[in-house]
Amino acid sequence: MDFFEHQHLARRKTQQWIVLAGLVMLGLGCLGSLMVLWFTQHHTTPYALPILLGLVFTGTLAGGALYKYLRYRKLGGGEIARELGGQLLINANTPEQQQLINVVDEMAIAAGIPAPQVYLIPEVGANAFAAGVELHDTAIGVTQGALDHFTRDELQGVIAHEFAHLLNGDARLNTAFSGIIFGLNSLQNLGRACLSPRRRHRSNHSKGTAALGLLGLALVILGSLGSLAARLIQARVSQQREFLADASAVQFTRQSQGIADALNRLRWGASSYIEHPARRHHRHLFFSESD
Amino acid sequence: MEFWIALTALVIVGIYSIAIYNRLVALKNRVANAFGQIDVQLQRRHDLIPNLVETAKAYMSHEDAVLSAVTQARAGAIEARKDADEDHIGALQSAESALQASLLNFNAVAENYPELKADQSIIELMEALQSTENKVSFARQAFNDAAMRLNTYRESFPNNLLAGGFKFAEAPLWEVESQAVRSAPKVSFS
Repeated sequence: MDFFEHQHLARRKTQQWIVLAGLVMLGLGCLGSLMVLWFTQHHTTPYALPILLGLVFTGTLAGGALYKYLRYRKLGGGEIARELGGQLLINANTPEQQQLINVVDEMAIAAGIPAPQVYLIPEVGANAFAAGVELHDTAIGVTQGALDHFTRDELQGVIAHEFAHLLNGDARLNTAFSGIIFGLNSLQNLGRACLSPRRRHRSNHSKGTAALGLLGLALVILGSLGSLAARLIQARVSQQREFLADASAVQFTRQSQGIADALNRLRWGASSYIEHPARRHHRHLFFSESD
Repeated sequence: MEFWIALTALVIVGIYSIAIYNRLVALKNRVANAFGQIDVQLQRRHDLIPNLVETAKAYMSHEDAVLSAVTQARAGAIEARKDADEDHIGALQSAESALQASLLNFNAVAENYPELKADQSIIELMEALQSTENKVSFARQAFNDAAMRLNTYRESFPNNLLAGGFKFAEAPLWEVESQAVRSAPKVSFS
């Protein structure tokens, strides 16, 4: 298959997944509205509450997700690496860093795409990820632990795997998921803010307090359900794409030992844990389990 | 009436020919571009080797034969690279294979010199050489892909009529298995 055709197919598949994720979120919004509607029939809360909830839910989620996604598109995949505490690696200070830069350059030639920016993540666990929306502005993040644990061949296999994600459009999809997760988090934060006792104390309208509390509770529940749904969809996507990326890694490097050894090393011992708190927003990006 | 039919047919054939011709040019340029990618990496390899030989000399004073073989092979490769382009890769291919073989031999002999292998600048040079070697082989793969695409297109009907008329030559493939690489490196313990 031609490179451009491949890209086109990948892009279309990505769009299908995004549409599915959007539909699920919309369904959740409707569910939430119905839930509140059912509540309001039995209590004396304002009738406009379901509509308000729907608006707040959609606005926060779509607004948050879109804001984040457009931000990643504008700033490139490096923005995610920076959120995870990564530093742009341009000039190597150690032989290992030089090796990483070399391996990335090699894979750019093998995959036939522009070389991504390389970010070094100061973490002990051995892990890596690729992120970015546009193919000419992507980033690959590699932890210090990966440089310490992997041999050159293993590193080459892992980097080739990440290049496959870039080439197949998985990085774009994962970046979009990071946007959706940001939207869901905003939703839960908003809900918690509505539920917080300080806010409740200040308001002396008992009706308004109840309404705000109900709204907050609904937002927190919907946020959790949304996170669950996002994770299920994401797991389904990963299942299809990880094996494809491993296969592409073998195709790029023309040897299967590197990626196989790297996977075995992670399976039998080497930790891939990421300490940075932002891992919770980006765990779907990582080569190996981040927590 | 017949005149118009003939004219229409002629215009259609003309447009079709132009499309084929332009596609041939585009594919040909891709092959040239892919060759350029290899060329850049070969140059880099040729630039690295003198440093390697100079640094290694300090440790391997008794291995003049091995080192001068590398230097000679490099000189041959530089000479071959001057005349090479995407249509004439035969000489460069065998010169590069010879260089590759001499480097393999050097690596094998270097195994006997632990101090050499521990030298910081040698470690850096070895990494740079290995990376360049990988880039050469990946660029070679891209070159072969581009060459194969051009060859398939120019041999297909009716493109072959036009390709023959305008002298679009068959692009050569860069074969890896030449005699020099296939033969095992000779390890000398002298």
